[in-house]
Amino acid sequence: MAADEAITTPRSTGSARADEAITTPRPTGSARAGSTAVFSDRPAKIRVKGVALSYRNNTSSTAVLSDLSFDVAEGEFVSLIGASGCGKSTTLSLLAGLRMPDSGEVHIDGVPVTGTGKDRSVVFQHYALFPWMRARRNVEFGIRQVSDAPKREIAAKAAYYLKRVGLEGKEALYPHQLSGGMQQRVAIARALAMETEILLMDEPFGAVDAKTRVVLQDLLLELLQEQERKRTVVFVTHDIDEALLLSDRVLFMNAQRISKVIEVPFEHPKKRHEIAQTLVYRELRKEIFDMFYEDEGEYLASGI
Amino acid sequence: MPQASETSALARLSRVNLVRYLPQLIILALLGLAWSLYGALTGGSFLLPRPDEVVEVLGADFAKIFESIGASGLLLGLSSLIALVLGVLMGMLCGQFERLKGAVLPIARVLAPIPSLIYAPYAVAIVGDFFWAAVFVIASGLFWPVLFNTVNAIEDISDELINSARTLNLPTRTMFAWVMLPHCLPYLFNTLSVQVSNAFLLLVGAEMMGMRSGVGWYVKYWADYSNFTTVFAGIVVIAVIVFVVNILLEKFRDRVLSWK
Repeated sequence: MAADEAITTPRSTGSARADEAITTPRPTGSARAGSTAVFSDRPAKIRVKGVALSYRNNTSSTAVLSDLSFDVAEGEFVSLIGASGCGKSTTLSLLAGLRMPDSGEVHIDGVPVTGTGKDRSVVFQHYALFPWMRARRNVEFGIRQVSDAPKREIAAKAAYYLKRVGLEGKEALYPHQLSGGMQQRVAIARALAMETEILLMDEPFGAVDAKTRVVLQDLLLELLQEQERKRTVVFVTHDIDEALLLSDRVLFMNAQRISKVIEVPFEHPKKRHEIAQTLVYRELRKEIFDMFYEDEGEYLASGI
Repeated sequence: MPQASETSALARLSRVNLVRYLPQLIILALLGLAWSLYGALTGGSFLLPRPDEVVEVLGADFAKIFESIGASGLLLGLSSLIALVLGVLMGMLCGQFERLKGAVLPIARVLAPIPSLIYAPYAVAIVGDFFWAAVFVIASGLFWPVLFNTVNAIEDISDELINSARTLNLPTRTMFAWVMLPHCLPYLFNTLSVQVSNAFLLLVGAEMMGMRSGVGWYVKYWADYSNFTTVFAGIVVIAVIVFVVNILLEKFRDRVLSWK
């Protein structure tokens, strides 16, 4: 995707909040400061509109999302980024169908989400594999839920994806025999092997060490790149570099909604070292970094 | 070459087992020694016979003992199986439906402490068959701990794992068979190993009601005739069975829970 094509245009939408959101100034120079980009101009695969959600218990109610709106185009990789507690994981659980909004709409392909579905696979931060199944069985088990293919085909597909994530020879191990990074590889293999149109990832590399994280990010990029049909990906993270490396668009969440949309102008295949050298990258990085702190005034207070 | 490695693996295995059971073997040997010493010094007594007398009975009454072991095994195996199946099913349903749990658990907590042997006359009257009455008594004694531990296990299952399972769109049956049940297995093995002694108490009690064979019946029968040499032989047999059952259970658990 060329950078210039990715410029979002204002759209008249029903959401007043959407109009208030501001895009980043275009670092490439062809800036359209002030344009709205909560909804992209491509047909939406996923559309979230005016969603509100509160966590309730007997005595109190805490608003987690209010008037949340955004959409994700088919084949797009979108990151949700923000400080912890901003509601990004909750947003992902809405898309997964694990939770229903109090009000507002969550649509996939124009159809309201009423629960989990075979068009989506999810990678969680941890504890997502079944401890009583070997790596191979975990992947096969996932495939079997979305495919009626014969056993041998399913086994072959599981073996292929486990090999692709670098776990050849470890297929017969149980999750507890694998390191945290390897367990996430199995989870990614399972999600990819299910070949769903939508891939939802909730801080999938949040619990692995820094070195492994870099390897897994590159692996994910490579695997998504080589898919015949581009997956639509929504990726939750609080890691700025991770978001910039992986995404086509970064949605910054703050105060229970999307407060800013950032277009990431780098062309595929992205190379970590090349894009990190560019001025654009550094500017975007600083911009997001500042957003993490601007509200609370923490940045000044902490004296970083 | 493969044969050689096989032999060494076998040797390693038996060495591990020997080390593992060495303390128990030493205690058993000491007990045996003390018993033999007692026999040699006193010549035995009416209540506590010499070991060679007991061994003689074991040899002479072999056929009846063998039959009793079979009868007890059938009774205990069948009762445990019924208690396990019903307890796990009920426990899972309670884990799934809060309302059912709210209705069942308070009643269960009242019923569970009642020794199930009390039901024996009622069981015989209702079922009309001694064997099935005994099955009922043992199974209802084992049912409660299985139920409580299954409910407990289901409460312990992590939200992350449940969410992961939900995003895979598992049909209810698959959810039960491949997520809930395997999750409960470690809890069930714990329950079983704790309940082995309870099960044998129930077995002996249940076999007193109208049975004509079984290790519990055997001991009770000869105690009524004050033939303590034979009673002792029966006790030795029960001890060996409990020992073997415990080891088998442990082996089975290690095999089934290799993923732990």
